[in-house]
Amino acid sequence: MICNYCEWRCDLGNGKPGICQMYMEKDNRIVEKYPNYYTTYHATHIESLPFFHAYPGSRTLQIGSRGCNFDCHYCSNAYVAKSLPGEVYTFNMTPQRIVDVAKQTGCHNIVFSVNEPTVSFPSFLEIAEEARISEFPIGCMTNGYMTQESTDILSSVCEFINISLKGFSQEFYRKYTGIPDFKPILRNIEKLALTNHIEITTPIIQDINDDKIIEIAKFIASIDRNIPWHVFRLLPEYKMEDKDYPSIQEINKKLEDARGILPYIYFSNFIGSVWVSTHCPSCGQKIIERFNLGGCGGKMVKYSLLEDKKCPYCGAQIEIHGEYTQWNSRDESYGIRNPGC
Amino acid sequence: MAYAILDVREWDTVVRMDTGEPLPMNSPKVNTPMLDMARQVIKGHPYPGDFSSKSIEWVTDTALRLWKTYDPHFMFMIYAQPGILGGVKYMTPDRWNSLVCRVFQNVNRFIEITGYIPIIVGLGDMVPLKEYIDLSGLDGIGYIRMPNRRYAGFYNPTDRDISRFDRMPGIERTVSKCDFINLFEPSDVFRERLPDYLIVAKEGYSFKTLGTSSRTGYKTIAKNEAIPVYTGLPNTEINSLVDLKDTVIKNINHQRIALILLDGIGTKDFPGEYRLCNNSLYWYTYCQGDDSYFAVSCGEHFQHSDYPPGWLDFTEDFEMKTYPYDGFIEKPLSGSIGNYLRTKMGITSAAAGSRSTFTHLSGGADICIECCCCGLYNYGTKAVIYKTQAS
Repeated sequence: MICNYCEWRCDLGNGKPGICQMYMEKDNRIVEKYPNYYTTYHATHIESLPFFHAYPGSRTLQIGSRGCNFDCHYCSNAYVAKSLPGEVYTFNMTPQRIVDVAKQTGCHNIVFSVNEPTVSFPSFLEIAEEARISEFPIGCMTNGYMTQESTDILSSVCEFINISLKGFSQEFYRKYTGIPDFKPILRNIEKLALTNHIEITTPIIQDINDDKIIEIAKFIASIDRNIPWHVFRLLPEYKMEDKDYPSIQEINKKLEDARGILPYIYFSNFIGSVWVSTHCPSCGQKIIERFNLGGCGGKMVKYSLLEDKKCPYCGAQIEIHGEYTQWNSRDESYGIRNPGC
Repeated sequence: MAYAILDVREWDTVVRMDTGEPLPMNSPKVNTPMLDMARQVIKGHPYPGDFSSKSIEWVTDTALRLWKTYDPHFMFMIYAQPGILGGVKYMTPDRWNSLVCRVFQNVNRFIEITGYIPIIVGLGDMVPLKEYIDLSGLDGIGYIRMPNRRYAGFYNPTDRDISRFDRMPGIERTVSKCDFINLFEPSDVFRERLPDYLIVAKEGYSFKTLGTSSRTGYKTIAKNEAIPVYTGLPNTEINSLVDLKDTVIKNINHQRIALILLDGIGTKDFPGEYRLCNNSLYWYTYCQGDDSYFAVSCGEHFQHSDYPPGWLDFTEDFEMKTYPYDGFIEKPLSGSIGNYLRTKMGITSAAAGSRSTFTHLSGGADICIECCCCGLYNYGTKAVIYKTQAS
């Protein structure tokens, strides 16, 4: 019995666990071992995930489960992504409850992140359906190593997707993530870019994948040069925790050439980054200002686009998915602020 | 005007604390003697990370460097590692004892080299985590503001929720907003931000709900009604953690004082002589979050701050929130000990600590050096400079 959620296409017959260990065969079907179990749920800025060009300013209910189909040697979330059942506490929450929490916390959308959504795909799809009924846009962050069948489904339920393109060579992917072939990821990026709002994230491990910065930028530009690219300075953990701290200056120097290829390159995952704001590709003016307060993306502090998403300085059209959303626009309607006694 | 240097090893930037706005490197505000000095200190002492074995030494080494370069009259220090690591890392008793021992060795090293008169405060013991109290299945919203896991705010409760609180074995008490206000008479802002209910966990229990870390917990803060304090100051009376500020103020004209806070260490682990100091008010016991740090620094109990436990702080994290690098805080604490010494007494101060923003927020010192960690991930090192002109 083959699991067709990701490109590993594991045979789960005879009780075999598969790579992610999150599915099993039951009554001739592939089912989740831990449906509707989540390690976290939290209200946060959409820019912190990061999504910089989708629903700017909005409040996101971030959810995640446990497990992963990769084994990235440098993983920062290994305590969740590589944990075994029982090692990490999980919440059992129905899709209705998750949407209800999103409402009660004044969120505007829901994003599955923290770990790979295809390892909890049926649960994620149930949330997406419940969110659709309540008109919550859904997004996710994925490593992109899903089958074409899963990609089609993901494309149909998600409005916005951040895909992690962790490197740009078979050698890197084989050695540091454990997958045999990264071409399905490129295929899925190309496909999703046609149907969904996508952003791409690349964690840079100095001296290991920083030589591919230009190649990755060219690949993204070949699809659509308006795709935002988030480059993370990564402090390797898990199996690579002894690696030296990376150099911001040296990575940024390599990004300088890439900035001539893509207009929306962001460099973060360290406090105070000055490369997290959006500049108009036409006139160069800062049009969305963000700070990095420590964390993957940033916090938006000023949104200057006109209502039709044009640059207020030169009138150029800026690629933004969804509307600018005020952070607390839903608090009152859901009764969060309760001054009474 | 306060500024911060955000240092990520070989790269740094300077920002205004009130707006978060980065300053151009050629700005005269960036090139003052105080900022230059702070930059030199953090360049020489990048924070090694919460999980690093060198993070305890980092506090002492950084404070020693501040002493050599700035020579402040008052030094404020926080050693957070026992509280941080004790919570999320399994440790055998031997490893725990070794960790505590290293903390005190480092405290002693600082005292012996500098000659400061110490006031050493163990903020409280930790106990093994018995069980989580999971609030996710209730109808309303539970929320905790890390790292305070013993008090959860609860919003929009239904009658069903309230009856279920009574049946949850880990809950010590539930307190309605009105009952809380009647007993504690909090400040107006605190009152406005109070959740509908405050839920208190029994000792050994910890909440799991919106906002909690997904890391596995091993220990949690004990119900520390009293905490240990050692001071080299003669004839002092310290009955409560809110007396510490006054003790410093009364004695600082006669000697240099170091106020040293130890996270995760209480009477069980505090070596040598100490006196017991009250760590509670009515049924509330302090939990080594902003409650403890602000009460120590401001000399006032927690309900006089603006920040109740369980407050849904993210609801006020607007685009233009002031002091963006200070987390949920929207202005410096005017009553902090460092601010008081500087503005009322003209006394110089410095701070070094591994409890991130709590170091400069509670220290309020002329110059504060701290780690920039969030979720135990090391994002860099920060220097906050409240006094921009050297005297």
